[in-house]
Amino acid sequence: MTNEVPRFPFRSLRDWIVFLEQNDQLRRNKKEVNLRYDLGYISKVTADTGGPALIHENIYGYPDWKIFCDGLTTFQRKAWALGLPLETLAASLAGVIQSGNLIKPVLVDTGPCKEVKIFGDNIDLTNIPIPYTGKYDNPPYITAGISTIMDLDTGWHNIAIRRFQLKGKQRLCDLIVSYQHEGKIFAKYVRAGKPMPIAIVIGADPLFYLLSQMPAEDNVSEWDYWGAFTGEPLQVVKCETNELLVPAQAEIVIEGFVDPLKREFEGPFSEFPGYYSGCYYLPVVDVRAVTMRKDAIYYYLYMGKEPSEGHSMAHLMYSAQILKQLKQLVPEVRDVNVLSTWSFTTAVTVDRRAKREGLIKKLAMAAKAIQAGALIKNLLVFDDNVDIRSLSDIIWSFSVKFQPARDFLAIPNTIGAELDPSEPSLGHGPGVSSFGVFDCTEAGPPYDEPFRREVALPPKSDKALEVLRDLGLNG
Amino acid sequence: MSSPGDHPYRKSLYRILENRAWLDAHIEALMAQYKSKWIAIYRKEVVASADSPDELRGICQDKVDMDETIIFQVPGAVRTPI
Repeated sequence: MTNEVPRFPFRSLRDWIVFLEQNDQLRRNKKEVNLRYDLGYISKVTADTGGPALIHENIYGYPDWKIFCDGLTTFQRKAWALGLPLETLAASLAGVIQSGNLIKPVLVDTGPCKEVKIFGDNIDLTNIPIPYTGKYDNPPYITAGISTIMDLDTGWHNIAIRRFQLKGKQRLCDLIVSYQHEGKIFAKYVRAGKPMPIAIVIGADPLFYLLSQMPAEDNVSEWDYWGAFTGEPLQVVKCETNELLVPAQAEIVIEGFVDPLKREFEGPFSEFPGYYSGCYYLPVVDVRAVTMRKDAIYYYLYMGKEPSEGHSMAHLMYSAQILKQLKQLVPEVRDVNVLSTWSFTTAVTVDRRAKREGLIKKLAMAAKAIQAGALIKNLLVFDDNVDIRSLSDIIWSFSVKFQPARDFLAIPNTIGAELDPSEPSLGHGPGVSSFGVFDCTEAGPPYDEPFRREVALPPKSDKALEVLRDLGLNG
Repeated sequence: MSSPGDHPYRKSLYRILENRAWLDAHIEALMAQYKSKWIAIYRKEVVASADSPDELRGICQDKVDMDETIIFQVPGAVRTPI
């Protein structure tokens, strides 16, 4: 880190912290906090209230450590992290994602994440301050660990935040889900009977975190988008015990192997749908090395009922990727906004002038076919003159355009999310869901009176605008 | 990684890991005996069971160190998703 004031692109968590502090968006908590009881609720309230990013500097039992959290809970901070204007964030983000200007990372010899290296039996993961989140998570989970794995055949790197339960000094459990990229890649290692190398990155620059929450297309590494935003490649270093690459500026990197056959009892965990997940037999990470900065900062994500920093990241990045992938199949799509729960409920707009019979059904099938749409359960479709970032516009359109008997389509027995608490009630257990499409677009004729089809708004006069300006209100 | 391993928090975390390892090793037997019940695991044994977590805490909070105790609802079945 230099003495210059950091600005976009932020190359490390430390640059980001300095920037946030200088923009009055970070608070340092010097009161003692207990990992078991305190951090989850503080982050929950911070997200609920649009509060600042936090650094906890007084950790009970871990005097040398600091914990950073809640950096990406507001649109302003996400806009800064992406280097995009707040006023046009969604459109600008969609533009970059669809630009195709991907840049592969560049391998450098070393970086700050190599300042400390610990191997084998000298590793004790309890030396890292891993907070508890829910009251039944026991032992605690690494919640902001970005899993980095590589396709067995192609070398394609995949990054994603996953939950890792601490199970021993050198052991973690890893929730791998079959329909996600991690599951597809791991399945190849299972078929080949080979252990899968893994690197878990904790603490990185904010753009890397946002990209880790983005479901990119098959065979595309999310970190190639880092260059699309910054115009330069992400600097990466090679792991010590495998061939994986990780950000050179990372705070902590945990290296290990996932045995193709070994499974261990895991759970429950306070998961992103806002309930505790059930328990599973899950793959196990045998940790072989930990590399980190000398004064590493731990990154914590509260997980549970939204809002949270994780939801905030995922909803923005899922929206952009769903839009990109959906437009390739349905060009009439204009906009996408994830409304809740990592895309369980997602709003889409279509070009109202290009509507034709069957378009909504085509859109529905496409939404479930794309990689980024795997989690969508409730798809709400609107005309492109509806602001799907305005909850009042959404509810209004739903209220006056949607006819339940005509405009609702339900498809039973679809691939589920595993963690959706409503899935077991269908009788097929977790992993089997259903898919609903709510067509909230304007219905065509016949109309009883043509004038009734115009949205009822008052005239917008120059005088009215002048009065509003004098009152300090936007017109 | 210079935090002292003998700090009370770290000691309780080690105990939790021991309890968890015991839970993992005995989950099939626990499912047979305590399905859907809430159990408290302390020093590698079930020290209490109840129908709710609040009832369970009421039973055991004066008898054991809750920072070293796992409160857990025993599932009826466990999936292997991959």
